[in-house]
Amino acid sequence: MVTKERIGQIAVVLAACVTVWAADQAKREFKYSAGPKARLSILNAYGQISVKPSTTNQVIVIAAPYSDKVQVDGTQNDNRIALQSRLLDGATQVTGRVDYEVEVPSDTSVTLHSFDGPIHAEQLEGDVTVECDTAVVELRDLAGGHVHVNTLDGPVTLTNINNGHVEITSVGGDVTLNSVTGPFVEVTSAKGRINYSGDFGYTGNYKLTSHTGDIEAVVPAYASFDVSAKSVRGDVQNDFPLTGRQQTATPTTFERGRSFVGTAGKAASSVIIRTFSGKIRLKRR
Amino acid sequence: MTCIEFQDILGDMIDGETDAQHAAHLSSCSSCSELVSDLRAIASGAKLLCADSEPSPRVWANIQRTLEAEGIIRPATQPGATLFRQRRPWSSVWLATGAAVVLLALAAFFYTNHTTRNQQVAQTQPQSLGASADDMELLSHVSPAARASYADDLETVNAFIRDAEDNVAQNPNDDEARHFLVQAYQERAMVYASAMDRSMP
Repeated sequence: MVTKERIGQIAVVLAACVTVWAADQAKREFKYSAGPKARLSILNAYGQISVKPSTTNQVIVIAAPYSDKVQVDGTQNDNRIALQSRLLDGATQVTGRVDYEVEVPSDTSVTLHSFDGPIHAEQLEGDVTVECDTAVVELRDLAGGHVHVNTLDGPVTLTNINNGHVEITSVGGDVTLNSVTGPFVEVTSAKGRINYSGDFGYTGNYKLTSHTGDIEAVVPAYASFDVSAKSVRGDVQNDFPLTGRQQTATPTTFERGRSFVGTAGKAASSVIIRTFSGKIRLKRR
Repeated sequence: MTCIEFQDILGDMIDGETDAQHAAHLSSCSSCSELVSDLRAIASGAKLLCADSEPSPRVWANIQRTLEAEGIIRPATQPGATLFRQRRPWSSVWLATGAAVVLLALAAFFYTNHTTRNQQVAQTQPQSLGASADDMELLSHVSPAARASYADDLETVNAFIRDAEDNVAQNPNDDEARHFLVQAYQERAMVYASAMDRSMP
């Protein structure tokens, strides 16, 4: 006998299938020929954006709106391509959603905006700029470009970013950097955690700052850097063997137990870690 | 004599029955001295009050008869004796003392509550002050579903700004402190930019 509960379950599954089918039916494909170092921007209110490198010189965008309450507009002006989700009357966070799957020449610079995401980009050599509210942001295997992420509360994970100019600003989202190196790496978070795992590269300036969020850096023994860490109200912990400047700390500005400075290897990179009330921990991997 | 021992003889003390030992304690203990002073002031006020509104003997007699009829008290064994006439002369003082204790307890309660509340206000005020008129205006334009999240973010960045400002005030020549403040304001600008994007039609 078919119970009411069973009927309900079937109805939910059918509704989901219809939604997926409708989204699939409404999918739109945009293709643009792009010159070297093209610029692509996608302004999406709600929904995911995924960007991967293409094997051609074309920018290919597949946009899947979830309802007729949202339209996708695409324009190209010379080497600048822009796509935008336009919310119509009555659109909500659900009906206004559009999922984007994007392929671009790897030297394309991309600007991606979505309030709730998720946002993913990989294997690019151009600049990557991300703006979001709560979106999960995952960027991996980027090289040579500027990587800028502004998020309110979404977690940000950067993995294998080489020679990048990296700037991450977060209010509440945690920021995780795995093997991120470059001449300039700066992360600021109000209350999100900042986790760095990597060797701080060579000749880079790294600055990790938070208000209340904890900051942890896990560094291999061979790393070469000069570090200055200070927490105004929180504790600091250093498990990494440092030399040099560690003994020259000025007591007035570097209170013992709340700060440490020192050098590892030949001080190839500069690392500054600051927090008001978060904890700082430097660990040897 | 300890304060506890002294409080055992408070009633007699209020009635004016003091000895050298009591006087010595009073002179050496400001707490008990103030208490006695307060109780005497209240007792003298209560006496005036009692004199003005003392029920007539007939009322006391009626109350006694009712209590006896209901078995709450036993009938008087001696002719002419009444329960209320047996009150000690300082019963009004004890009444006043009771009132004083209640009053002092209330005073302590309100004082504690007031202090706690003041401390709470002191702790929460920066947060409420942190939400500026601009913040409130901004939040009023954000959809109700997202408002709480933006309010939380604004509170976070405003706290960041307050700490950064304090830090600059304490270290006016510290470039780092100023940089901290700039970063805090950048975070606030980011929240505003996002909220305004969301509030646009």
